[in-house]
Amino acid sequence: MTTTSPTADAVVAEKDGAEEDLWTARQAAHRYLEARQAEAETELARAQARLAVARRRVGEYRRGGPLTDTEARLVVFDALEEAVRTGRQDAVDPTGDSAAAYEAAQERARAIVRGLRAAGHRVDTTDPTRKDAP
Amino acid sequence: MTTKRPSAAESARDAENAREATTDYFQHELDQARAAVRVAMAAVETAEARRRQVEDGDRLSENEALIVFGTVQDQAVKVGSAAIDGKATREEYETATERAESVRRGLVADGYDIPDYSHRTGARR
Repeated sequence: MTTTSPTADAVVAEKDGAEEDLWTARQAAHRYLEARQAEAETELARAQARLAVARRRVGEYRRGGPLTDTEARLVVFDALEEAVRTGRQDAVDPTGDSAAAYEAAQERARAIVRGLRAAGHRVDTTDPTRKDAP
Repeated sequence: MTTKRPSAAESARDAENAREATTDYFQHELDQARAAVRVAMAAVETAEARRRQVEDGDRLSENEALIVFGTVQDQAVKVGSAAIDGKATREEYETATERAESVRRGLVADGYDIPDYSHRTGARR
């Protein structure tokens, strides 16, 4: 019985091809890990920029600087969220305490809206996207 | 219709509530921004450490190997879409699919279990 053995050139070509595949895969892995790190660094830069803005705004506010209308609205939404949270709690598990907490949160939200409006801010409790919000 | 004018005490209370709520809002923003920086820093450290580990000879995890292949395969799919729109040539598409196949063969040769998705890229057609 005779067997056909591949030529020396074919063996070398196959070996080269396999080595090239390994090299290509390792390069792809390297690029993936580099891209993953670059993405994380971009996210860090974004987070640091956001922190810098937050620090600057807190500093300005503490020194008596004015709130923007957007910030004023966000203050109101935080208060409304608290009213919604206590309202849900009262709806799910009504007790005297939960009803009082809900009432207090609503009254606090109203007081905050009045206080901000008295300070001249345009705050709207119905629709944050309304362009003609009062 | 007339609305009752708030008393001075009521106005002062409203103003105090608004001030407190504003301070809380800024503090919350600051806390959240600091927390986001801590999370992002940890992610950078993890990504950098992992890159170095692999550079120093650590094997990829099976998931990482799958993502590496998925990334090159997505590139081939993008070139394929561009070719359909006439924004890339058939040759570029074939090069991209061959590259994806080469990466797959290399990963498989390195011992990773990478499925053959050639039906998606058309590499074997």
